[in-house]
This record gives sequence, C-alpha cells and structure tokens, in this order.
Amino acid sequence: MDHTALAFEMRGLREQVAGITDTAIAAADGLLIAADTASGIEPEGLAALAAAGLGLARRTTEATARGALRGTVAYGSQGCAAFFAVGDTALMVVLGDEGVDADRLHRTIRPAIDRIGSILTAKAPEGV
Amino acid sequence: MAGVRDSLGRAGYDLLSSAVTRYAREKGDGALRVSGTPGGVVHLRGGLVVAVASPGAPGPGTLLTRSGRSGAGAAELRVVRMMAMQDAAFAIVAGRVDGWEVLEDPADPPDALGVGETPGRLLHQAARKLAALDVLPHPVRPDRERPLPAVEVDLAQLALLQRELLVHADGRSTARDIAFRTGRAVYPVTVEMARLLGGGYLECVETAAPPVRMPARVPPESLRPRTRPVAEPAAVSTPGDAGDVPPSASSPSPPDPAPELPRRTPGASGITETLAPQKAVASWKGFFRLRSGTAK
Repeated sequence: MDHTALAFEMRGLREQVAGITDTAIAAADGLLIAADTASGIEPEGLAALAAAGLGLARRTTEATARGALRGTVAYGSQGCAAFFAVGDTALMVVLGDEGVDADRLHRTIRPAIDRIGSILTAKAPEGV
Repeated sequence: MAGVRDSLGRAGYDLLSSAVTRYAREKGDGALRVSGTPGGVVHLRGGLVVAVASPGAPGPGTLLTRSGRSGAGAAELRVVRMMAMQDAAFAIVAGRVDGWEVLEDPADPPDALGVGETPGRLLHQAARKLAALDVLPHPVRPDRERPLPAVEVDLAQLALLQRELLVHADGRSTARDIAFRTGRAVYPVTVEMARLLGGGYLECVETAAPPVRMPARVPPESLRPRTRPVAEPAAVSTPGDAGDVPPSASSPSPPDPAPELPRRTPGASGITETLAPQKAVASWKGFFRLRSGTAK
C-alpha cells in the first residue's frame, strides 16, 4: 500500500473542501489504516464507530433494497460526521464543521473514494 | 508576489461585481450561486443584497451561538446579520471566483436582512478589506495559511482574539477554520493571524512530511492477530525484526508490518449467523403486514 499516495488524498480532501476538518481511513471492521485528525479526536475509537455505523447503514440499505451502500452522515449542531464505504473492505471518515460545503464534499468524495480504493487494494512492492 | 495574487483576486472580483450588479438592476429578486473556492450564494431582494452565505465564513447562527450571544435582541440580530453578510462577501472575494449562475427557485434565507445593502457597496467593502489585508507585512488568505505557534508566550498578556488564535493554531487550521471554531467573523481572525505571523508569534511550516498518522507507528499488537488467518504468515513481522525491510527514503515512519489492507474473512465474526439476514428480512416484512392488517 502506498502510504504517501494515501496521505496525499486525505490531505487533498481537507485542503480542497472548505470545512473538512479531519479524515480517517479504516478497514471495514474498524481497524484503523490512516488518520489525519486533530489532537482532540481519538482516531481508533472513531474508526470503530464508523465501522459500526456503516454496518447498520449497510443492513438498512439491504433491508430496504436501496442498492449498494455509499455512506451515512450524522449531523450535529456544530458540524457533521460522514462515513463512506470504500469498496467492501474499507471505509472512510470525513468530519466537517458547521460551514462545510456539502455540495462540494459530495462532488469531491466520490472520485476520491475510488482512488483511495485502488490505493488500498494495489499490491505494492515490499518496503514502500 | 502580492501583485500576482492581486491581479488574480481582481479578475474574480470584477466578474462577481458585474454579475451581481447587473442581476440586481435587471431582476432585483433572486439568488446567484458563485462557484469557486469557497464560493457562496448571494440573495437579493428589490435590487439589494439581503444575505450572503458562504462555506468560507460563519453565518449569523454560528456567530451568535458560538460567541454566547444567543439571547440577542432585534437590533443586535440585525447587526450580526449585516456583519455575517459582509464577512461572507469578503470570504468569496478573497477566494477564487470561477463563475456564477442564477439559482432557480431559491429558498428564502432564514437570516435575510429586512433592508439590504447595494451590491456595489457590499463588494467594494469586501475588496477594501482584502486590500487592507494585503498591505500587512505578512499578508494571509482566510483559507490558505495553516500556521503553528512559533514561540512560547505568556498568553495572559495577549488580547482575547490573539489568545484564541494561538490556542487554535495547530498547523491544520486556516483562519476560516478558527473563525468557525471560535464563532468569530473570518476577516478579523485573518487580520489577527497576519499580525501574529508578522510579529513572529505564529509561523507557517512547510509540511514536507504529511501529518497523516499511520497506525503502523504504534503497532496495534492487540489487533494484528485478526489479520493472520488471511495474510501470508511471512508478511506479518514483529516491529523488532524491521531490519530486513529496506528503510524508506520518503516516509519517516517505521516500515509497515502489514503491506496489504487487512482483510476479514466474511462471516469470521459469526455475526451473520447470529443476525440471520434472510430471516430478519422476512420477519421485518411480516411485522409490517401484521401492522397494516390490524389497521384496517
């Protein structure tokens, strides 16, 4: 797995979309892969929450025949926490503040998720 | 360098200014979406701008609740709305303006001003603020610089806004981010950030090494065994024998013990059997039929 490319994608999201404050990538079972989070956030716990949240959302889309799960968003009074499925094996967490540009977030996230998916599944040579 | 930024900013300003002014004159009512970074939406009524919303500047709600002024009177509410509108206009002008479009059927903004501002005056003020920012010794943009505290300072001797900036400057946050977190308008936060950078209290560190944390640095001992059944056993090594992996030139982190994305075997946890999706779906549907049956 190319860590530099992954870090580039994660930082790119935070820099391109106004209001994205933190991002994290984890395996579908909640095992943290990478975190670009502020010091106040505990990324392991966040990854576990995201895995649980996406699991429930996936069951919901299945039970209601809504197709393959793309993601789920929790809105709070001071921002939002979005969890996106990255293929079947991984997930991505995106945290935004109150001003997050939701349109831009959703437009930017789909291609980013695809790229992250291919970074995660690429068989990199040893030592990279 | 300031000249280059100036000319770029100027083109965006001219585009925006002519679009909003013409729309205000010809239509008067409606909304324009400004595309760009951060971009935003300009709401007009009777040829006057009554609200501007932008992801680049906190709205009146954020300004009121975060700063603890939630019990504002009508007069104060008007002042805050006007301030938020001017601040959002500044954020749009200070960023990149790519273009604009008329919003079909725009929703009425909940925080519109009763009596608005002429587009010319509003945008002129925004441009003036940007010019004032540019003549500071260390000009910054609301959404560009992400500084860190440069020196240990006694916070008690600083003004409140300076203290807040030093507390929230973590190398990840722009002036816009700090404005949202503290519930302040983005312009004063940007100006103060520029002053603190100029005074040497803050510094912009070029982040050559990405701040992204990979848990490989902290070996997740308790979690690793879960990957063993699927990963090739040879690839899983303990942190101690990292010597046989060539040191990476680009990454300062120790070599990743698991080069592949850990994969779970489907059904390994037994949750699928426990929850039995087929049955669950059937019983859920049954429950629904029962309910609608009794309702009749």
